[in-house]
Amino acid sequence: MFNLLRMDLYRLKRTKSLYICLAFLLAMTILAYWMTWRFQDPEGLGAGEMSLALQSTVETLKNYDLLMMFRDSGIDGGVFTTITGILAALFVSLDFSSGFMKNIMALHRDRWKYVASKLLTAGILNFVFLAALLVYNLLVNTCFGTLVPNSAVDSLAFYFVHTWTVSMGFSALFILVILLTRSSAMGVAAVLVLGSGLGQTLLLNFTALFHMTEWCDYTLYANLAYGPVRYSGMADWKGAVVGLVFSAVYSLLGCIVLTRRDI
Amino acid sequence: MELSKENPIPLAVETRALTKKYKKKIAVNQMNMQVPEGAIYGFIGRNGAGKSTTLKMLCGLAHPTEGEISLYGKPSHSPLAARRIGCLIESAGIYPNLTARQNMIMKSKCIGLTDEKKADDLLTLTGLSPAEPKKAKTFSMGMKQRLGIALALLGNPDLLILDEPINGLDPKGVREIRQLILKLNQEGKTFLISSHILGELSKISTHYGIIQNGNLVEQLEREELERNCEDYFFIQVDDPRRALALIQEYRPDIRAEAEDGSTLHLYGLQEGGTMNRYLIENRIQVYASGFHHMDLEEYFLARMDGAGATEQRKETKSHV
Repeated sequence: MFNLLRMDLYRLKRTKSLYICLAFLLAMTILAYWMTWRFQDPEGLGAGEMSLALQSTVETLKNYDLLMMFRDSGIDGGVFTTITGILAALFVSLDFSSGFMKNIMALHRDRWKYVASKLLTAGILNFVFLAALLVYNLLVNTCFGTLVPNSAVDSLAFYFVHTWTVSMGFSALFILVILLTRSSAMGVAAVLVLGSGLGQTLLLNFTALFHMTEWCDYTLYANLAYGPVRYSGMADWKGAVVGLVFSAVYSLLGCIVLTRRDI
Repeated sequence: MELSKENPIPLAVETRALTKKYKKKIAVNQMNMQVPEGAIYGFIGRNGAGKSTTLKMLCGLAHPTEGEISLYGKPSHSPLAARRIGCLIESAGIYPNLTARQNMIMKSKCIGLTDEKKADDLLTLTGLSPAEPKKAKTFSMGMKQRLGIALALLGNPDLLILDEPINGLDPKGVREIRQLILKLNQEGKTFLISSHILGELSKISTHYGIIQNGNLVEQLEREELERNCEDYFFIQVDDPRRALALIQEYRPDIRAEAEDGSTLHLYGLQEGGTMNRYLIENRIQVYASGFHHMDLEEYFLARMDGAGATEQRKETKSHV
């Protein structure tokens, strides 16, 4: 499995889309800080010109800290999972479309090794992206003259672990979709629908007709977008547990799919 | 069907009743294949006959519906067996955005090798440059095939399973790959090669397996094939019955057979001019004559046209 992981990391480093996606996320962060700065700038949008909605946004922004900026700049809206999901989908689907999968599978007859190496690669990718985004948030906030107050280190650490675990669940889901469809187009479509929360919103609207909305507390998207801001008790680990459970379930399904189907 | 019932040579590949079904279609049916160690086994069959499916099952890329596969005496799912094979199935599996060397390093990492020099050596051996900066997506078909073969050779496998390895190669490339296969075979490597280019296959193969509609209709060694594809002198005459009697009287050491109403086949004849003269002197009209060599292609086509076509042909001759 570690041979496969080394192989995946070697390729990941040479994947152009990795740097494009990272650049996109960093650009989103700058944009978020710039917009916040514009709203807070008295010479920017004058109070008289602002609509009620904008006034409300400005009031909300006054309560923001670094962690909230970190969340809002790319994670809560599903941008992070969508971007890393697309990357993961393209990365895994290339194994099939290039035919290199034959080289891998002829050597590694235990299919779980393949799924585990892909999940670990996605985990490392998500970790690096999250860490880069967090550090970048700190830097940009400093560059903007500490636009928002810094958050407590323990809150940042908790949220980091929480988000990383949930993002692993998403990665396992997208790997499963690629293993099922073996199509990059289907993979990207699944990422756009599931990673952005669109699928959940549609399903929630439908099930709300029957007063069934509790299931939403246990989805990956809900736990990512509406996760706790700071650690206040064991119940806050629910999101991480949901992420781990979904990671395990989707990985297991991926192993079954790969074992049952010919290459 | 067996190559040799008392074969003392250990087998690199042995399948027992190997079967692959796709829903109702049987792609491979009860196949008992035997590839001796050190052989170059030419696997022949029409498109859709089941060659690639068989090779995929041997490489662990497809699951047999029934039957067993043994590689070097071990079950094919054993990691030890998997380490001993290198394969190139259908197209060369290469990442298009990486260079040839990067693809080789990828496979090296997949195997667990750390010596990158070995990858460079194999690229050189297959006629590619390790320093080539071009990405694989810009490679010609021939270069891709060479890279596919280099990838299959990584890890020093004992058995190489190559599906159409000379596809897309120019004549020089075909010769180079042929020489490479022969060189590696002399070093002790076993080859299982499927190809449509039967002439090429006949130049290197030591054993043959012919598959038709998923059934392995024949397995034979090169010597056996040569016997079956024996050269003969054909002669077209006006009175084959009398000509046959004259030939048997003049040259009792050769075998003569009537092919049809006017043609005779003479096996074991080295020179045809004397025979023509003898028949003409005995008032037999000779319309045409010449030597004929039945190559693998003809033999293969005869086998493909119907099981036992050669035997049928021989039976027809004896009735004339």
